[in-house]
Amino acid sequence: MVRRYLELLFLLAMLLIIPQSIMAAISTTQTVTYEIQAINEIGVSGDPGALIINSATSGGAPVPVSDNTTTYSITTNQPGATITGAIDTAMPANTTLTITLAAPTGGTSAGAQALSTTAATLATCVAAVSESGLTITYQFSATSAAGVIESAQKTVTLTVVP
Amino acid sequence: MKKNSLYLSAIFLLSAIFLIFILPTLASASDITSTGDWTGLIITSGNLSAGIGSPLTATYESTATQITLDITNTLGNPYDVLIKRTDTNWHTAVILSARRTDVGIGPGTVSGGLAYQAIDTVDAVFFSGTNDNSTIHVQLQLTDVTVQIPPDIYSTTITFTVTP
Repeated sequence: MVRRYLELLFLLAMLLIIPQSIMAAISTTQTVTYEIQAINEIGVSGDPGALIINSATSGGAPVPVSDNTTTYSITTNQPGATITGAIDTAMPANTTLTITLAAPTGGTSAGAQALSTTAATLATCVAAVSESGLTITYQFSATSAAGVIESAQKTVTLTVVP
Repeated sequence: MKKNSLYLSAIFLLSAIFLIFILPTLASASDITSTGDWTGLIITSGNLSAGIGSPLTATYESTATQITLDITNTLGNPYDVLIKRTDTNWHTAVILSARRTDVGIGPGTVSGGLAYQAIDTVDAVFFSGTNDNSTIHVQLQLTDVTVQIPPDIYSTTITFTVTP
């Protein structure tokens, strides 16, 4: 009797185990993984022309000069990224160099910002964007107290900050 | 006598279960195995399509032999290979597609699947065949990659299923 029960149990176990081992591998899997890294790139089309103040209104301050011949391009995949700008050395006393960046699509411009050695926020990219040909406007102004200033160069650095 | 009758009935019942439900399945069970994950793609600023201010290159392909499939134990019968994906971390704007790039090696015939088809999250027929074949190659493609896709590591699992 016990032997017969054991035989039945053995047969039942084989019916459960053998099919599983023979029926393996009707499906198979492979993994796909890719990475997108943070992308924050900005470039400019070139240098503006020389900004030369050489006139003044009668009895007034020297007349500021502007240049809007250059543009910037930007690609960022990080919404909310800001564009900052700074110059390498301070402007001469009683002079100001301002910069205005056109807003990227969907973003905002901070308007004319005086440039100094401390980075100032110039524009904000609300959404991820890839765009080129955005206008940069430089303005150079001086007070009468500035006097005569010899020609000099400043390096403006624009940075995308995520 | 009664106990002997119960024992014989149990043997008959288990044998019937085997013959009716299990044996047909064993006879028709084709097997599929695979190798080849696609895990080395890293998209950076170097993938801008035309420099700063331009969008990302939208399309990326694996090698033509990225995945290798072996179909065995068909006993000469026809089969379909189904394909689907199960996402771990995936951006739905990016499309993952697959195509078969050759017929493999063996006595079998293979048809379909030569054009890229988007891999959905539910099974769809990828290609069909008859009889065993091994080393059937599959190529993968990512499309619609843009800067709107946030920086991250994205992953999914492709499942190939062979059905009689």
